[in-house]
Amino acid sequence: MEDSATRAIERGLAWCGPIFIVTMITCWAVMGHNIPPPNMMAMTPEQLVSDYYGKYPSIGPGMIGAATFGLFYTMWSCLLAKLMREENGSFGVLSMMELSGGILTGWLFAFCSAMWAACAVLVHQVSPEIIKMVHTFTWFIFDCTYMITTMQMVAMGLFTILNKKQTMFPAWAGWVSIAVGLSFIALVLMPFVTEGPFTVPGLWNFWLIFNTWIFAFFGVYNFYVLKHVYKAPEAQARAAGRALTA
Amino acid sequence: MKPIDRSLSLAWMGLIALTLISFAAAETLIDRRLALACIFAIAALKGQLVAASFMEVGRALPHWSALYRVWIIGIAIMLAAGNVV
Amino acid sequence: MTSDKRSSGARTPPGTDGIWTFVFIDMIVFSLFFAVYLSERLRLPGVFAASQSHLDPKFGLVNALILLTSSLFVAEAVAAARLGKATLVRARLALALACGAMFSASKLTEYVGKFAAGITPVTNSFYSLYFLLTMIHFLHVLAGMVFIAHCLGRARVEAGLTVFVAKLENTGLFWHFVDLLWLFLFPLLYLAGPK
Repeated sequence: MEDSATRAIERGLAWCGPIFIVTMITCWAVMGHNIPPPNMMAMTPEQLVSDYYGKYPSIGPGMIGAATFGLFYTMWSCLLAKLMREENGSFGVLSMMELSGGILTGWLFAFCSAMWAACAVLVHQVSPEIIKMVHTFTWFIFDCTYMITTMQMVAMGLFTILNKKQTMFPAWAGWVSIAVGLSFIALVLMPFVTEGPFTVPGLWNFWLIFNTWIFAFFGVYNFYVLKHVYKAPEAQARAAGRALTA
Repeated sequence: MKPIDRSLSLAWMGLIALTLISFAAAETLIDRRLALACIFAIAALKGQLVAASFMEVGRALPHWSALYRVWIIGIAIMLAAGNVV
Repeated sequence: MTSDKRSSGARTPPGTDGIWTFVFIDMIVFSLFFAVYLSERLRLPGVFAASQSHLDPKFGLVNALILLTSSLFVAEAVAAARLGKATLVRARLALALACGAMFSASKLTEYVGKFAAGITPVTNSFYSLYFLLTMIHFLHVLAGMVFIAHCLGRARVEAGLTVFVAKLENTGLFWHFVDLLWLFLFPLLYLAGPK
């Protein structure tokens, strides 16, 4: 493949990041009425149907939209993995951890959104207990497998900090990535509490975690990735800490 | 055990004393607002002592020195104010 | 072994910029935890007051004294490393580790007591925050003990070398931060409740 084609693809993949943020906010958060999500552990099945799925017809289409655009996160992560290669161009363990986390996180967004779409579409056809069961089960999968994304963020953070030759990402972004990834640990409380900051819509487990993840991690790395992919090839190689091959 | 650096030992003694004073203030002061002001003021003082003597923030780059000291004071004020309400 | 130039009083910052950055970001994270704590306390003052009265402040006091003493030992180890005194470095780090072990025993005893009384992280908001804050702090203590143990293992060969001094300074900075956190957790959780 010609260099110009490769660069065009990489720039396209870089833009998958901002597209992911905009579409997920639109589809999952706004249309899906997840600002904040319903506090399912404190709701009866009937309440979940009457106050959420049965009340907002946009949830179904919103979740299908989220299922479509969820994998844009994975495409962006593939580009990250390429940027995180070793000096000799090989994919090191941090690159693979990042890619694994990106694949699984993107899959989670798509899969869980599809499950919630099913709840929305079938809300008047199955019992409220089944709706709550599927809704809750999906949130447990979405939130409690946080280690998927923690792994990705720690890998990116370690690459940023430990690879002294790269100048694509500043060191502080690496530390922030690790800190935000590790702060997800509070999600272990989510299944067991019905009120307070650690519920699904809680101050910590929703507002802080989601916003820090979007703005302090994803937004920051998006910015530097976009900056990087528009550099000339020689500048890109230097920034990545790799010598340009003849 | 002979101290390696006398200033460190003195700082430690001060920290232990302040900790015990803080504990006593919390247990004995009847006026709750006064007790809160005392314990968090002492916490801020202890924090500055740890930062200066053990962390050596005075030798850190100026921005770190400032940020760390401000964090200690800021957190003490935030916690005191938040508990008074 | 040559003495590090820091021991001569040269004003080079202790540790590397990375650890100062990491500790500061950790400070920000705990600031957010504290803000969430205060927000919940404002929402549920009765729950917080009643729950705090079940905490034994003597546990908090003992842990504070242990951590302050361990910080002294770590600071002394750094001073000894700058002078290339391997034996003193090892002695002080061993004492710091012993303090860490005592803190761990105290913390676990306190947790076991809580669980035995039927109090868990999901009992109410106060206990969710109490357990989360102290457990995350405890994880920091355990991580610090690992770093200290590593430095203890390397001290015999490396004490006095610039790279070891920097490593120990980094470890020390992290450990003192762990101590600093408890300086605020102790009054917040154990002392600030109504009597």
